[in-house]
Amino acid sequence: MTEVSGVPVGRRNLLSDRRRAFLGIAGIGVALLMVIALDGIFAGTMREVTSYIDSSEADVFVSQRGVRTMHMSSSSLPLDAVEQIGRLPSVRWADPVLYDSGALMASEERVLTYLIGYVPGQPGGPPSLVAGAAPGPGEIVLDERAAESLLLGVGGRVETLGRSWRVSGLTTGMTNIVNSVSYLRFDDFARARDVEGMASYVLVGASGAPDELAGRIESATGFTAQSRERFSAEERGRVEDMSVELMQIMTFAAFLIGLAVIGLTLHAETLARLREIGVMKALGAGPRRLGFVVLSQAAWTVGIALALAVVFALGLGWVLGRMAATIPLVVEASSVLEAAAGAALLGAVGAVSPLIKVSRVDPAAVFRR
Amino acid sequence: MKDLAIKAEGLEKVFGEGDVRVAAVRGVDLEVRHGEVVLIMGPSGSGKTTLLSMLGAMLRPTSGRISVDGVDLTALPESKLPDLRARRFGFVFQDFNLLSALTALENVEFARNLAGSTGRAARARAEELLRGFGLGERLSFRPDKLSGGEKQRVAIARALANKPAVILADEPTANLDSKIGHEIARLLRRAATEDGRAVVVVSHDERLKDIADRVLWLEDGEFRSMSDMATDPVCGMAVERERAPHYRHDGQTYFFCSAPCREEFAAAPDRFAASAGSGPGGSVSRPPGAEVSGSRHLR
Amino acid sequence: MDRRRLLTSVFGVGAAVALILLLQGLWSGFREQISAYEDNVGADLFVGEAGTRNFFGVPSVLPIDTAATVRAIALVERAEPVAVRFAVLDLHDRKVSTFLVGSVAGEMGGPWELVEGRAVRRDDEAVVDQSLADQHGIELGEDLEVMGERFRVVGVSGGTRSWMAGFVFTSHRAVERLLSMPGTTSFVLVRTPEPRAVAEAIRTRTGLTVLTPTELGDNDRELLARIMEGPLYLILLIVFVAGTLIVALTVYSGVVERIREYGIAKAMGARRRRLLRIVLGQTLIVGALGATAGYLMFLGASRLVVALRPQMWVKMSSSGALAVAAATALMALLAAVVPTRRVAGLDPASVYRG
Repeated sequence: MTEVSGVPVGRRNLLSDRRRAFLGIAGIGVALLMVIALDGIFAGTMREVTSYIDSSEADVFVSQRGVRTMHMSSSSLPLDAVEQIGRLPSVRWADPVLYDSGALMASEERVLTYLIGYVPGQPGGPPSLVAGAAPGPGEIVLDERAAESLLLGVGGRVETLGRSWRVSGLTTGMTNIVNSVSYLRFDDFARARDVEGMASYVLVGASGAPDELAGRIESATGFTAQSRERFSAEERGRVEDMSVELMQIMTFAAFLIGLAVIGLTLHAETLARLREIGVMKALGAGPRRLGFVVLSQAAWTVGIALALAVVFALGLGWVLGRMAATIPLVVEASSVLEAAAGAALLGAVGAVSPLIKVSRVDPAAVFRR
Repeated sequence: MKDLAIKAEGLEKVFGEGDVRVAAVRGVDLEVRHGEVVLIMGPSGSGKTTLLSMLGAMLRPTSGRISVDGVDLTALPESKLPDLRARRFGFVFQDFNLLSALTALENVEFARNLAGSTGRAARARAEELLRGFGLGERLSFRPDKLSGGEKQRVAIARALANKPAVILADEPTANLDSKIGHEIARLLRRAATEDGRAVVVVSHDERLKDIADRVLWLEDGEFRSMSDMATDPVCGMAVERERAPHYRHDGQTYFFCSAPCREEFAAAPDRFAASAGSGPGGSVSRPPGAEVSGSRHLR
Repeated sequence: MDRRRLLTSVFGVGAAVALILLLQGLWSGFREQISAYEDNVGADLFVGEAGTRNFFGVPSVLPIDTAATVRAIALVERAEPVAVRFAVLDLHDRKVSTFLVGSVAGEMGGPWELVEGRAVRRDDEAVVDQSLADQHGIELGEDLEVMGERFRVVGVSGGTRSWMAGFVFTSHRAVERLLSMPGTTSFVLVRTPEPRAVAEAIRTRTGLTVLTPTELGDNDRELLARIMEGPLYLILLIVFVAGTLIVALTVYSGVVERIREYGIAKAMGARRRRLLRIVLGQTLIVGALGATAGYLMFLGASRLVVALRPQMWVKMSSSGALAVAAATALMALLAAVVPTRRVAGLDPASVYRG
């Protein structure tokens, strides 16, 4: 590499016209930001959607036959399934939960919620409480964000399932863009919904491998059983399948936009400096060095753009996280890698035409006026 | 006698074919020694630029040979030429041609990079050269912040960075005022005399004759004997004595490009005679031992 | 202006504008689509559990004899129960969101347009939305597994798609069974010549919530907006900025290339305003060309989207198109900032420097 080290001509060329560098880098950065933001919204939504499942103590989730997901789904099992499952080997514990979507209403405000009915003291309830206590009869635990939107605190009253409930405690991390998760006592829920004798899901603690246990439960009972991992993945798959095409369209458009910008910057830059390329050739710069100048300019351009896009996305995610209007944006390493790959591709494609132009420059032209 | 730096034999360059065939350079021979300054003059379109491009390994001659320090340029493959240009040649251009995004220091340092030197060593050499040219305060300035003379000094420092055998300068003083032009001329002379480089300068600038060991006249792609040429005292054009209208005055013969110039001279000979005497073939003081004419291709 | 540069930038701006138009179109499509059921099923009123606001999102649960109660009210021509729920089906390894609708055979509540086959008669039959059938290759006579039970597909319906889910129609009894909620329903659909009066009467008599299709549709649109507007506007903003930068970059490059001429013009006495107007004119031209290209690209893209994914409706309203035109003009204005600063700050004396 000694052949191409020394004065960083590519970088100097890029930064010599600050305004143009800014416009070009910003343009590509914005295109990359779009991809990262899209991914981020997607990842954020996913995380929230699976937050209940992921934070659960259960190793296996049992549901109605053929039901493999939670949100936008319905599942019901007879309550005696709990006992049936509990008797199987490798089952440490089995607890029922009831699940449905609903709305919380208080002080003229309305928040959508997923309602979980669980047996207090058993798994299935809120992972942690930031205030108050678990629900007693007639009581409910809300996510703190939902409580905030409803202008409620511990001790306040909220309406759902056609009744009024007292807020006994607050939990956190359970509000997403669509919904929040609220917790009631199992028996309260069953009575309010008139589904006594039923459960939506049965949560199971395993003493061995969850996947194996899930298989055994399925064969023994005929219900659908999935390990927590599997269940979460299915849930993610649901969101993914719903939105994949939209994402593809937008990513494609972002790429086109990025391509246009890089074409404008690199190509224009090279054209503007064609004479200087000729000078460098005259002075003795070989094809490798010249190629390196073009590539390094491309690399710096997309590199800085990528860094800015990531920083901006992180900042955006932070800001949005603080705002009440929840747009989930989580910048995951995989999104950054994907954007980096896109950036590298952009840089490479954008460098092709300039490289060809550079190779054709005639050094003798420096003498012509 | 000092060693031969450049030896060119039978150089020819033809552009185009058939009806549009143009011979820019025809059968030129040239020898330049280390420590010599050779000035090539001639009208526009005479092939000076083409000749320089060939000497600088930027243009392949249609026929003929060029060797620099014994290395036959014409036999070298294309891939070896850049390295050769970097190490054996130094170029000085009319438009300076500095890299606008780099500082003065970096411009010279870049030339060192091309010859394989990087880092502190390259920078140190660049700084040394620039300081030697009085540019110590301008190291971090970009070309757009330098004056014409400063730019050309940077260009010459760049040309000298790799201690080349040959310096090729194309109209080095064209865009500079008289005082600066003199400075640049002196720098080129120093490069030859003190550092032993072979300096070939292509220029219209008469003042450069003061530093030249030899002055050659290129016209229509061929060297012509300087003694065959004269300068029209009225319009300053170079004319071939053989064919030019002439006028005798005060015991001296004057040559003109055309009858109108001759008439003008005849009307006020004393006025024009005073400024005559410079130009090809005219009397001019020259360091002893220098030749007047280059070799001429025998037709 | 350099032709190649102009083409590249028109392409880039076009992509941005096309994307904005497409997103807008999809959004309009969603909003229209979301009330497809209530707009077409033929009911004048929807009776739901007290506090119900949406057709989607929050399930309403009523005892099934509510239908009989409502039927008994004066001026009620028809009152039929309809049980609805989201269900996720597994179709060749993909999770497909669907909306289950169970209605009484032969009565209101089922599909309003049959493209193929017939309506449901038995409890183990189903009618599937056309987009679902097309996308997943479901044919008449095939068996469909829904929540662990098998249904024979006897019909394909048109226009029955909403909220990113295609409808699956079956009998009311079947849905009661699937949801393990026997004796319950979600809504009672009412047909009446006097919706206002009847709604009031139902409310008084039962204490339940009564909504018109329009109200229901608007509520669902609001729900949709709440969920999706945030990310949508974020992305639109980003795309807008990208488009602006492309225009700015193009014109700026052009200005820099001709900086000498601008300098000469200034040296010759051209006033600042004139030069700025020239620059602004350029950004407007690039913007206008980009918008035109964008509109054409949008037409092509939307046609492609609808052909490949018929469940995605792309609707373009004139107000939407106007809004995008205005946005492009704004893009051009903002884009002029950087190049005009370059020209404004130009020192005419620089023309003379070597």
